[in-house]
Amino acid sequence: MSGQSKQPEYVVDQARWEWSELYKKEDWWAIWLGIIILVVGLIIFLPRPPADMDQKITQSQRTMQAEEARAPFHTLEWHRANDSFSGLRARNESHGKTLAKWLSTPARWAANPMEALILTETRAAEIRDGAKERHAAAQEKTKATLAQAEADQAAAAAAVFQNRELNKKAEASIAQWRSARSAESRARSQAGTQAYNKIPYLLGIGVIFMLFFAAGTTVMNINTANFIKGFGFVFLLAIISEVIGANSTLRSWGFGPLIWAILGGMLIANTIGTPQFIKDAAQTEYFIKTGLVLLGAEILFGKILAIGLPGIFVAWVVTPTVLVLTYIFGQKVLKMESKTLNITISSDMCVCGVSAAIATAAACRATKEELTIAIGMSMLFTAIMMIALPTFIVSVGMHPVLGGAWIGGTIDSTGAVVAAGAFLGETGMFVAATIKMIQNIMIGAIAFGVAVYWCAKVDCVEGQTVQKMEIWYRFPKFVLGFIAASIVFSIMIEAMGPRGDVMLDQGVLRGFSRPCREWFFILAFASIGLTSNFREMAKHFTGGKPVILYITGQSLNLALTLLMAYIMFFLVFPGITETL
Amino acid sequence: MSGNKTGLSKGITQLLTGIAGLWLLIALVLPWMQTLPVIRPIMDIIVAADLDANQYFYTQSEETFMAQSHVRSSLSRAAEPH
Repeated sequence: MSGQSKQPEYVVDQARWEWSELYKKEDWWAIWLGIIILVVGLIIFLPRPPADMDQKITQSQRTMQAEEARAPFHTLEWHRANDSFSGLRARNESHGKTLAKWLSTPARWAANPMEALILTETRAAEIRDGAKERHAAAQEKTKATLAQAEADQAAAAAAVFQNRELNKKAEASIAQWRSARSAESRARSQAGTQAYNKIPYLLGIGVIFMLFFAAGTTVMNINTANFIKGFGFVFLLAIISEVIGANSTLRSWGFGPLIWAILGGMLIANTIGTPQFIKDAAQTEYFIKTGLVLLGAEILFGKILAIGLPGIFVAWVVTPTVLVLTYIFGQKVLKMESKTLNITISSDMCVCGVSAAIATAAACRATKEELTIAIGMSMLFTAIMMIALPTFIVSVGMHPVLGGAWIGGTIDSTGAVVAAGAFLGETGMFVAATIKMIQNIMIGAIAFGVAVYWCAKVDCVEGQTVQKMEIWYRFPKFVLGFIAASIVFSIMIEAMGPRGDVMLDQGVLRGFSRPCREWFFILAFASIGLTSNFREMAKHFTGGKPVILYITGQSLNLALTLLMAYIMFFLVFPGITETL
Repeated sequence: MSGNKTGLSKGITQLLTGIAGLWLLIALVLPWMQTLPVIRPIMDIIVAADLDANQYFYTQSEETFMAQSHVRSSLSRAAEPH
C-alpha cells in the first residue's frame, strides 16, 4: 500500500471559467442528474394525488382547529384527525409503492443475514404465527387504553376542561392509548409479514444507476468501460454494507450502512488492494455531489418555524456559534494542520453529523480520509451520547422540554436524537426531533458559507485579495444546485400548503428523491472506502487532535445549548414550555 | 511471482481477520453491551418503539413529521389562550 498515492481532493480547482464545464465537470453533471431525478419525481407524483385529498385535508384541519379551541390538550378527536392527515401520503399510492419496491434497501434482520434479501413463505408464515398472539394482546391493550382515555376525557370535558388535574389525567391516558396503538400497529405489521425476494429489484436498480451515472462518464475524464465493469463491484459492496447496517443490533446502536461501506471498502483496499477498474468506478465525488443536490431539495426552510422562536435560538444561534468557536479553537489552540479536517469535524459535531460532514467536506474539498475521520468520530460519539445524555437527564429529573431541546441540539444524527428523546417520553421526543429537524436546515447555509469562505480566504495566498470572479472560478458549483433545489422546493411546499406536505414532502421527496439520495451516498461511501488509505488517515491522528477537537467542541455545544434552552424555554417563553 | 503470492495471501489473511473482527463486534460485543445496566433501559425503549437510530437526516424519520405537527399545534394553541 505504500505506493498508493494521495487521493485527489473533492474538486479540482481550475481558477478559470470555460463553458465546456457545463457538460465536462462532475459538479455540473451532479446538478443535471439531480434535476432530472427531481423533475421525474414531480412528473410521477404531482398528477396522482391520493383520492379525496383536498376534502380529507379540509376535514382534518377543521376538526383539529375545533379541538384546539375546545381543550387545552390534544384530545382523542384531535389525534384521530391528525392521524388522518398524516396518513395522507402520495408515496402510499400504488405508484409510490412500486417505486419503494424498486428503491428499497435490504430489510432488517436479527440472526440470519439472508433475511435482509430473501424471506421465504415458510419463514414468513413462522413470523406471522409467532406474532399472532402478540397482535391479539396488543389489540386488547389498545381497546382498554382507549376506553380509559375516553372516560378520562369525558370527565375533563364535563368540567369544561377547567380542572387542571382532570386535564392532566386525560392527557396521560391519551398518551397511553397512543403508545398502545403504536405497539399494536407494529404487532399488526409483523402479523402480516409477507415473503419477499429483493434480489431482482436490487439487480435492476443497480443496472439503472450504472447507466444513469455512466452517461456522465462518457464526456468526463472517466474511463466508461472500466466504470461499467467496476460499478457492479461498488454496488455489491454497497448492498453488503446495507445488509450489515440492517442488523437489528447495529440499527439500535446507530451504526448504519455508511460506516460499514467505508470500513468494508478500506478493508479491501488496505489488504488485498483495489484493482484499477474498480477505482475507475469508485467515483466518490460524482456520487456524493449528485446525492447532495438531492439533499438540498429536502432542506425546507418552512420547517424552521416548527417550534417558534425558542427553537430558532437553540438551533440557529448556538449551532453557528459553536461551529465558529470550534474551528478557531482547532486553528489557534490545537494548531491543526488541516483546515478542511478542522471545519468538517466542527460542522459534523455541531450540526447534524453525517449529512453536515458530507456537505461541508464537499464544499471545502476535504480529502476522503478527512471525511471518513469526521464521520467515524461522529458515529462513535453519537452512540455514546445517545445513551449518556438521556440517562443523565432522567437521573437529575430535568424537565422533558429542556431535556428534549438539549438532546435535539447536541446529539449528531436524527435517529439517535429520536431514540434518546423517546427515553424522556413523547414530549421530550417531539421537542428533540423538532429541534434536530430545524438544525438540519442549517446544512445548506453552512455548506454555502464554507464554500464562499474557502474560495475567498483559505484557498489563496495569505494577504492576497481575491477578485469576485476568482471566487466564482473556484466555487464548487454543485453547491449552487444544492441551494437552488432547497429554495425551489421550499417555495413550492409553502405555496402548496398542506397539499405540499402530502404531495412533495411525503411524495416526491420521501418517496423518490430521498431513497435515490441514500443509494448515491452509500455508493459514495463504498467508493471512499475502496480508495482510502489507512496510513493517510493515521497521520491525522497525530497528537489525538481530531478527538480533542471533537470532545472540546461537543462540551461547549452541550453547555451553550443547555444554557440557551433554559433561557428560552423557562425564562423567555415559559408559556410555550407549559403548553408543549 | 512468489513475492506477489505471499503478499496476496497476507492480504487475504488480513481481510479475513478484519471480517472476523467485525463479526465479533456485531455478534458478541454490541449485543453484550446492550445488556449492561446503564445501556439496557435505553435499548429496551428503542427496541419496544422500533426506532431506527441509523437515520441521519430528518426526512428519514417518521417521528420528525409527527413531532412537527404536534409541536406546531401546541404552539398555535399557546398563542390563542382559552
